[in-house]
Amino acid sequence: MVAWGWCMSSNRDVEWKTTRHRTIKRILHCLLCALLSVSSQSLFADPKDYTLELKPIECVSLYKGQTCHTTLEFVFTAPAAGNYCVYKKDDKEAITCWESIDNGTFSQEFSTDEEVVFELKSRQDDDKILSSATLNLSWVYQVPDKKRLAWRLF
Amino acid sequence: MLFTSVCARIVILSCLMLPAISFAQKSEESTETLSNGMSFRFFELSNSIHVYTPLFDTRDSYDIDREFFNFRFGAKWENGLFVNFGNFGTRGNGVGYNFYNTDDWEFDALIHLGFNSVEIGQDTNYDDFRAGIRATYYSEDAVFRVIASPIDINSDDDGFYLGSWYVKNWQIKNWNIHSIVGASYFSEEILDNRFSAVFFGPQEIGDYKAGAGIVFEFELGARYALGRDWVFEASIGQTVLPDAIYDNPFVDKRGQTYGSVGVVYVF
Repeated sequence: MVAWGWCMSSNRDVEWKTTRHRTIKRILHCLLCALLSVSSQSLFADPKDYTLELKPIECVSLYKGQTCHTTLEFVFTAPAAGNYCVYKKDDKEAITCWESIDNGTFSQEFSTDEEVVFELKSRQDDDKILSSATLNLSWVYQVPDKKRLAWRLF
Repeated sequence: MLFTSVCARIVILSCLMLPAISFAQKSEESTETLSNGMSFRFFELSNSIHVYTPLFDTRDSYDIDREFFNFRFGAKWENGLFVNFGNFGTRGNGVGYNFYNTDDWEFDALIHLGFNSVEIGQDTNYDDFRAGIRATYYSEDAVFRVIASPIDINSDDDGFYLGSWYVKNWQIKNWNIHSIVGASYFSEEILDNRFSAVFFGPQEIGDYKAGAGIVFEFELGARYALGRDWVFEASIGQTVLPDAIYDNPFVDKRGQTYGSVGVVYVF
């Protein structure tokens, strides 16, 4: 009887533990879901949800090989507010950063003699490219050498 | 007499072209080859407005020329032949043969048409059809060019023409700026052909007879790419004429001032 009683008590205890365990699991699951719903955009958002646009997307110089100058406007959007930076590809130093926002613009004078790729990255994780945009170069005259430059003057 | 003159011209022109043939082997230029054996070419359509002080006019006003759909064309073939025709602002238009070519120097046998510095606001005088040698030195951002043409193809009175220009290019942002300083010597035969009785008539011209003289010219210009095919261009310039021209009773100015603004479509 005692053994039965102990057994019954033990079963109730196990049942209670199981119920508590399930409850905790449910709570944890709910918490996890809540967390995911809140932060999934920033933690697991698809990079295609991020955009980085350049205005203009092309810089035109007169002669091939010349340095092209332009005022570049960077426009970014992100699915959630955060700290984001724009980098020139392969550069460690950011061109500009935004804090706690999900969209922004930035303008800067820029000079280059080759095509340039700009990358949007999170400030916390600058290895991951969230979005990128390319400044293309074009020119009117395909005449890179000094002799051909003179042809239109003489 | 005429036969002798023609023969003499053929001999002289042959002499000019012979070095072309022999030196052509020494060409050191490596150029990317375009179709049709061209090493490079350009073809443009300019639409521009030119303002200038008229030479044969006592008014202190300016004349305006509107030039629409003017073609400029230049091409150079691998075998050394080249053509270069343009309008206002170009010098040494004509056809020729490049017979010596290094990174810094080019020597050409040249047949050229007209003289820019004394033709502002006038039609090109197609009698001025001359043969000579052109030498050009190129540095990174400057060009020095000399044209010496001792032969007048259309006349027995050859005279002598020697033009020289120094051109400096530089870039400010996307603007391409150039400045040109030039001096051109015209022998009496050439100036007399342009400014004496041929054009004005013996009655009106009186005792005037043009001598030899040097025309100086200065130009400052700018070009800017508006897109892949369009270029904006503008220039201002001044010529200073010699007494040989200024003494002409119809010439009232020591020189001509000119300006030009236009857009160019580049094919």
